[in-house]
Amino acid sequence: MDGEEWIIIMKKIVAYTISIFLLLSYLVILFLAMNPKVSDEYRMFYIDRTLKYYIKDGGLKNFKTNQWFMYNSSSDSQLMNMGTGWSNPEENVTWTNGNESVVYFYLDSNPNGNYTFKIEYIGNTGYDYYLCINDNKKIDLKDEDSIMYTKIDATYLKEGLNKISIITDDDMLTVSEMYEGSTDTRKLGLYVAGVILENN
Amino acid sequence: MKIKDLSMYYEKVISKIRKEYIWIIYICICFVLSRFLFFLASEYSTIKEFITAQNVYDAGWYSGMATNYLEGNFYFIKEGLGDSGQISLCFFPLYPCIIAILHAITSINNVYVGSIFSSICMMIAEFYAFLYIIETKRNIKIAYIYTFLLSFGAYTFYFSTLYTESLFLLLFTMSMYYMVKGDFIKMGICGAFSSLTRNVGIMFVFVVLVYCIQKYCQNSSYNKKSIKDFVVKSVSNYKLVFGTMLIPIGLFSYIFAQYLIIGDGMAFVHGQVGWWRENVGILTNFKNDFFSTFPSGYLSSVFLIIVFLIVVNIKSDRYYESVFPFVVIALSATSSLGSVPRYMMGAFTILLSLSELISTRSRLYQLMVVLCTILIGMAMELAWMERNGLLL
Repeated sequence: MDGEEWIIIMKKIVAYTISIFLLLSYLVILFLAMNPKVSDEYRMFYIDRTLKYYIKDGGLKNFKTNQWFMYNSSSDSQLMNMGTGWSNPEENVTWTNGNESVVYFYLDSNPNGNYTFKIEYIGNTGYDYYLCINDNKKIDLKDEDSIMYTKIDATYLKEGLNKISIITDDDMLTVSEMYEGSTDTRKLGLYVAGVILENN
Repeated sequence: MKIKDLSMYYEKVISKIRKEYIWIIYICICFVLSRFLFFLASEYSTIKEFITAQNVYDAGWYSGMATNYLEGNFYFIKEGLGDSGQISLCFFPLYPCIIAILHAITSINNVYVGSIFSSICMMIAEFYAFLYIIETKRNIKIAYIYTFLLSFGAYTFYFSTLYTESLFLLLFTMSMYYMVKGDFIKMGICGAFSSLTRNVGIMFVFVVLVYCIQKYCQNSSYNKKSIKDFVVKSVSNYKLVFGTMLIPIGLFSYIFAQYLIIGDGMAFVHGQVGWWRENVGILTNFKNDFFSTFPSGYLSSVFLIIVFLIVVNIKSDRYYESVFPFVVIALSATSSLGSVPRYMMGAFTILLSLSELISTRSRLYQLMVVLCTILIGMAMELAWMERNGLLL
């Protein structure tokens, strides 16, 4: 073989070697991308889409007991412990949207004592609501003076993040179905001012 | 070389320079005239005000990213209730990186340096369009029409603002040109940069695939054609293999960088939640928009025109030119029809197809097209500066 043929062979070897290396690299990178190493806050908002607002790393721990979380347009986004099933905050309140609306609370230690969950609301489209704790226990809600509340047994809760779902099994109508001329497709239920999980 | 050969060689070179010189002059005239016309039609008295008014919406993101890069920050996340979780990683880094470098060198404001850079990219893209059209269609008229439509027509403002449209169009056009010239390594390098400019840049590999299939099928020197023979011939072309493998480097580099810095290589996909985007499907989006107004929604009407142009390409055996627009529609229209028109303007071959159709019509028809183009371009320019969200 002459010099030119050797050069072409060398070029081919280099090109194919780099191509194989690139292909393997792409596969490795794809594998890494399919297995993200992120915080719970990041995963809940960006990947699982179970948080309504982006919370900084470590921010879930701010969803504490014994403090009101107010749902209005002036609230700090880092203290909006809403999951799915909420409309956008308005001046004083936020509508629930759909049959299930989720809030989160964080317990620093094993649940101990008596817990009371309260929802302060200023309007109800007329549906019957109950709670579901950590996708497990169903609890009826009492309603008095624009506060829906119930006691939660400590055994229903756990250390860390707790999911409380506000649920109605009623057939909900969209706003457009309730009001002629409206194109609003939301299914509005409770007009919520805030929530709290009290620990006595 | 003999004197006669030398003389003929220099004549060819000079003739080529003259030809390309005329193209460059035409491109520059189109650019200057179009921007001057839009400036006159606007309410602004200075060019600075005019440029600032054009750079809205995502331009702010690219400017912010460029500033953050210079400060050593790879990304930032918005925290307000209205834009909670909007993350800069959804925007690909090559363009803001270039803006950051240009700003660092010139000290010119991001918006102005970006507008100048985008405009230059647009003009170079038009030059490569000329080269591509001469190489594939041998009809210079199509190139002149294409440049006119791009400079004066719909969504042209995107190509002179802090958006990736110009840079992507340039890299894509260069990739197409080098592909048809058989210069696969340059094609791969341009493809690599385009996949670092926009996520859809990686889809160019499908353009290459269809191009190779088409060339193979059309090659009359191959007697017994088969899939196996096609694969063997393609794989044995080491430049084609290497060039094609280069294309995804941009995207995968970005994925890897995101994984290293934030732990999520797909942050640019997951981050779409910050803009409340959901994939509801092309048909659902089309149906919702088409019946939203009478006679039909604007976006769905444009969608139909684009589909028509893709079909025209396919019917004219320009399969590989149909691939990229088809892929872009399939990817972007599942979440929203909103950005489909501007993506199509930057997809090169759709506007090329339209230019080709116009080039076959009568002079009167072409004159009407010129007038309509200018009117549409001006109307959109003014609507854009009024922040008309339909143009996003």
